[in-house]
Amino acid sequence: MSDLLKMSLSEVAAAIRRKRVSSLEVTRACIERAKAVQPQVNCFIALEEEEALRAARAADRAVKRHAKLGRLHGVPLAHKDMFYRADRVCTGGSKVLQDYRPTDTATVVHRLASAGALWLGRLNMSELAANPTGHNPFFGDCCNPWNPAHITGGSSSGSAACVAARACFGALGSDTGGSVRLPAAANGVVGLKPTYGRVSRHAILPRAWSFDTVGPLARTVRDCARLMEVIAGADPLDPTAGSAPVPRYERLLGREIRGMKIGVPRNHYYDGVTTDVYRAMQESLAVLKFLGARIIELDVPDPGVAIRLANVIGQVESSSVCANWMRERPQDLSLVVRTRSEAGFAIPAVTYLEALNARPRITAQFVQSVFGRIDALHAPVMPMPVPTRAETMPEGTADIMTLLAALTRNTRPFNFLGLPALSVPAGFADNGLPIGFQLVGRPFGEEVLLQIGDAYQRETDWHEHEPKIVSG
Amino acid sequence: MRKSVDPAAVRRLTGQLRGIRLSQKRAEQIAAELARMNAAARLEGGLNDFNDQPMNFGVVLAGLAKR
Repeated sequence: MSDLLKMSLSEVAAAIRRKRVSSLEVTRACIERAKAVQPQVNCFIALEEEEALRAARAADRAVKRHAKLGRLHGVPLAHKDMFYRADRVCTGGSKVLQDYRPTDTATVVHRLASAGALWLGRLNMSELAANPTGHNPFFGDCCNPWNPAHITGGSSSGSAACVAARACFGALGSDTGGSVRLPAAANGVVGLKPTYGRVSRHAILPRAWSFDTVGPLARTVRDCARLMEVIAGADPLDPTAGSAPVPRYERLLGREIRGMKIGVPRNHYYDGVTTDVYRAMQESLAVLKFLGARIIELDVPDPGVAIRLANVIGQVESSSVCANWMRERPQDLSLVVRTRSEAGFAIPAVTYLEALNARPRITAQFVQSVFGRIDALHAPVMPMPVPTRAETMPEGTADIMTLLAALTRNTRPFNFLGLPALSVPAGFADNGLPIGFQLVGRPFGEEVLLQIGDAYQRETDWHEHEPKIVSG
Repeated sequence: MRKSVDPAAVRRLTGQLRGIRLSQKRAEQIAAELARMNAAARLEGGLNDFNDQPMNFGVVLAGLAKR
């Protein structure tokens, strides 16, 4: 593997800008790497080699003529195959969309391009963003670069696996119930689920409108901060995108976290936690304490309520998204998607609206009771080590719902609450697979999470470990 | 608060209104799930105010952002 690929996104962007390396060299290295890992990891649905090389040459010409350069100038990124580009195929990881060519381009895609980022290809994902394992029966499972027998987590499976395998420097994913944080944790990379409304969802494949968020995955918190700064902010094409000013996230990094109050929930989030995950959580808290943070144990409002109401809302909305496919071509949907789409058809509209109307009140109660006492909440992303693909292959419809509940029990509450959450690598489980913790903040408080996560990464080196597939 | 939901009713509802055919076993699973979800929504819905509306969520989040 080229040494160029050992650099972080921020480092490679600086190197291109200072002419220490060309975008063409970097892009070629990524393409070579992508081709090398694809047979084992299957993180790409489509590698757009020729276009990426053309764009890299253009980026190098811009550097030579001293053009004004964006903050991602010449940096190859790749994205979950659900971000639309006008008249370009976007599959959503599904057979039903294998020839779909949207008419519009996602706002986040425009913003990344304006900042100079290159588009390396379209990444694998769970079918229609509907599965937290990362399984995909149509395009083939995306496999964990740390051990291909294990799941990547999903639904942004390819985004996390591609970044972890050093085949690109950053990727966009989406998080409706944990779909950025779960694969980030399972692959040993950083993933940020922003506040609901912080990033435009215009021209992306919907899963459940009330919960869908777009977030970055990268190897470092700093890289995620840079990507967030580029993609966040109001958008006249998305009425849910809030108008709050976007902080200069990256500039706020590097500050001390001394005196910050980090909460550890006594209830729910450690239920059934395995010894190795618990140990990793304790060690990460010890690091944060060493850095001057105050660790405060507290009871948080019962997440069970949020999970049950999230089920009501999510099932109805995802059933609505899939309604025509369920009616006209159910044979082209996987068992998981069909199973997850059925219950929504039986939920009364009033039940759905009652759940939606309860959401602001429950969120306000949570924020006031929790973030009145602490700056960020710390919890495991998954209470267990990353399972194998075989262990998570559903044999029946009952298995699917049990599996979904187990994998997402620590992530889904924060989608219901609309809160930002950052997944940070925190070591390895006994099975050799990565473990991650999540930091959760008050609405639009991403900068606090990034600040804490960055301080943690400056003190630890978990994010610098490379999966065997890279070293081998 | 939780009341059971009749699987046969679930089959009729999804079949007649949405054209979705369910096996008896799947209808039983959905009925059990529906009972749980409906109970939670009714319980929380009982605390809702008639002025509540779903579109308020973004406004509430923005308000909670302020320290």
